[in-house]
Amino acid sequence: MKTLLKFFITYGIYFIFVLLEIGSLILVVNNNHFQRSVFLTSCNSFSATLYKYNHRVIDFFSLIQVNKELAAENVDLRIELVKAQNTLVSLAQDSLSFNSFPSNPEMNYSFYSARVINNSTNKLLNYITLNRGKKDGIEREMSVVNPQGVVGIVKAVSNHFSVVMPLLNSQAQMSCKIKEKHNSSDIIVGAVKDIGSLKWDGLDYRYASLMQVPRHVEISKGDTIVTSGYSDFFPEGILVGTIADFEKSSDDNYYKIKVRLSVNFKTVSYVQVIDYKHRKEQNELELHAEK
Amino acid sequence: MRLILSYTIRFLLYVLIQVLVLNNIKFLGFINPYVYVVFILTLPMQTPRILLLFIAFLLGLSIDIFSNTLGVHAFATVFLAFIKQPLSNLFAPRDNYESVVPSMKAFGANSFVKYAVLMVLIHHFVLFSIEAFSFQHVGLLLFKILLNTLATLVIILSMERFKSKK
Repeated sequence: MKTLLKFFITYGIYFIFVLLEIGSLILVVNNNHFQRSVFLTSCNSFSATLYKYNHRVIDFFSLIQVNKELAAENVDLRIELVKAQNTLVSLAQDSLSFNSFPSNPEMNYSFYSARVINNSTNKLLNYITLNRGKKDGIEREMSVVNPQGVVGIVKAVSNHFSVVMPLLNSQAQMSCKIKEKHNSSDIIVGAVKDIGSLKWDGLDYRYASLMQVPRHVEISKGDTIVTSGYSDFFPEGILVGTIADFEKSSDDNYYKIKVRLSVNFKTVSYVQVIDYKHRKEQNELELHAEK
Repeated sequence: MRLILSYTIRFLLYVLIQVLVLNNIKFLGFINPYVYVVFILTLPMQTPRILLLFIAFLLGLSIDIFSNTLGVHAFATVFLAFIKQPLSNLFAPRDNYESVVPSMKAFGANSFVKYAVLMVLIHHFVLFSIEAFSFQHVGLLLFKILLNTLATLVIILSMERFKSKK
């Protein structure tokens, strides 16, 4: 007790000094707007930095959810896009309005979003497995795309899964158009040069070859290859790739064209399955006509 | 008793002069001498430090109340009071300095000027730093501190000179 008193007598002056200074500082901060705002902002910047780092960590764990939401949003946007295109086409035919369709039947598509859960690029017959199946509305022969371009065609469907035959399958073959060099977008306007058939040669997952393009057509490197719409799987005008290289062989009537595929099949993770609503009707009609 | 009364009157006088006259000078826009610190400077050497601190707090608070800067002057003046004794010991005459009242006569002109310069500079530095509350505009802050210190010193030293002549 004695030492405590002694302590206070020797050091009391410091306590009182600190006390008075703290008291004045409290007065300063509480009663002057400028100092208060500065005081609060410096506190806030500290907490804001803390929150920023916290979010950096937490955001990582919510990426899966965010990806799913974005994929779903992409599907919605694509549907909107098709609707907008339909109205655009119907408006373009304004002068024929007395017999035009409310919307073009061949543009009647709907989209499903799916995630790639199994994938290969190094075999001759590659397949991609998706996490959607019959119960989600997927059927055989639906076409599969991602924002970069064409992926493939649904070959088999179970209740919860479906298997896609991608372009990287030597059995897959696809009718394509060559268009003039153009800024890459899904729907490409520009002169059609010719139609060919795309096939993968089984070597490099980045390249495929385009066949049956006659020698007289003038093509150049960088021309875009898009779907033709003649096969009943794909809507017209979806990007497939660009011409990387071509050569004329002396003993052949056709070019050998090397196509750089726009989709990176090694990293493909979210895709959209396109449902063409009138596919069955078109098939039946065509079969009927052949009889 | 007479001493307490005389110091009380001086306290009130300094507050009034500061608030009514000097705070209205604003020469060149930002020169505002704070002459009231001379009250702390010239308190007798044997004043108990605790009493000194409380007087300084009261003085600063009175200035604050009149100039709407609650706490700023109180902070600076309490700080000044805290360092007053060790600093004045440096400049006080060696013999019987316990009973001395700091002034030009007692300290000698040379020592008193040094003492005043140091004290006023420290007070103004603390005062303007607390007022600015950030070191964002350090250049302007230092400029203000130096100019105001100069203005305050001119007034304080001429007052002291006048007193010592008498």
